[in-house]
Amino acid sequence: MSPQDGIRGRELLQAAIGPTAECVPIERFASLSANELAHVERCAHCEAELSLWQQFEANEPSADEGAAVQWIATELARRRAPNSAAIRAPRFNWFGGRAFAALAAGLLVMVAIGYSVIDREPSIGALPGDVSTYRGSAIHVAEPVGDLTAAPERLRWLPHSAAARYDVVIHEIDGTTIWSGSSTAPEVTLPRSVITQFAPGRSLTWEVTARDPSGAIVARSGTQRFRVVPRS
Amino acid sequence: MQPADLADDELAAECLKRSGADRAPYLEELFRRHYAQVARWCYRFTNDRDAAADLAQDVFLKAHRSFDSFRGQAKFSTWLYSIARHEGINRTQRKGPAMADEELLADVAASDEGPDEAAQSGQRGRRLRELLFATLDRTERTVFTLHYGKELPLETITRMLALDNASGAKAYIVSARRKLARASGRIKARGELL
Repeated sequence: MSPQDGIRGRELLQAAIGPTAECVPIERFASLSANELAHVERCAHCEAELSLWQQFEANEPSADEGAAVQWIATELARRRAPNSAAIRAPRFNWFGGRAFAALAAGLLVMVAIGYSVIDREPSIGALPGDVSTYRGSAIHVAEPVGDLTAAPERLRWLPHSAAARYDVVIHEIDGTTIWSGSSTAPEVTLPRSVITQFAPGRSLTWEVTARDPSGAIVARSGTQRFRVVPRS
Repeated sequence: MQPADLADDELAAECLKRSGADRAPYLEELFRRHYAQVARWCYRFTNDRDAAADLAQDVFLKAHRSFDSFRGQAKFSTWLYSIARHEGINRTQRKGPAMADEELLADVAASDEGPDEAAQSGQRGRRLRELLFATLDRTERTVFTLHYGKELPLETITRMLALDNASGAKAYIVSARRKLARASGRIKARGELL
């Protein structure tokens, strides 16, 4: 292959899988319309961008990163101290030193509590036997994710090509199951009795699992969090 | 009501209504809530604590400087994500291109260079997009797009997508290339172009 062919091939490849004028802006990912969802399902660029965004929003710790993330978050707070000996970059004096010590100490405590109670690292052990075939395959969730202004009436995700059915479960933060169900379509409409449990301020998680005709797991969404924002 | 009592969108709304020192405690609280989220994202990009702290610092610095561009139409976390994504990908790409797959590039570049090259390029792009969707599963396609489209290293993609199979993104890119090579072979056998 000549260098020119390499450059040309690279340009063509990047043009083919790069963004187009029809691509969905990142700002729309939290509330995709039917048309936008249809575009995402046939656009490799948007599909990849949606995957990255979902990983950011899911904010789930991996097995080996909890301590590093805690250190970085603490370091971020530390660098905000205008007179701190530990400061690396003086440019990071956003708001002056007001109440820095209290905030930094508070943050340290909150981070410590958060990681010990809420954000505990998963144990490293053997994977469940029924997910060994395609552990990395993911279901891409459309809604609900994050803070919502109204209680969601349905759960939606992108279809998985190998799925015969989807199992869906909604949990409280402590892991208590409040509803579970199945669907052959990539969405499920929730019973009214479940929707009324989505009280403002109450954080919930949900997960969808795709199964093939034999019932084996072919993909998972990972845990998605949402809550209805309380009105003041 | 104290900043800590407000939800993210309420904090963002308060920030939009205020300026200067009046805005600071609300913006500070809003940022603080996303430290761990941005830290995790940056760590996955860099796989290095110090580099991730520097990247996260730049993300929040940029968010602070450009907060007036936030209109409240998207979720604050999504707006923050757009900054983190931009900074992370830029920093990764500045380290050098990840793409070095001569066989694949040669296949894509191969063409009859006719008088209407632009139209041919457009058609080839369309054919390639169709081939990706007809040949690859979603994870393979996403890894392929991030590696060849965004030029992200496979190790970075493994961390960004939280792929926990033994060889991470590499397994998906190998599988994708194998499938594409087979499909490309069938297309060539018919005397057509990729």
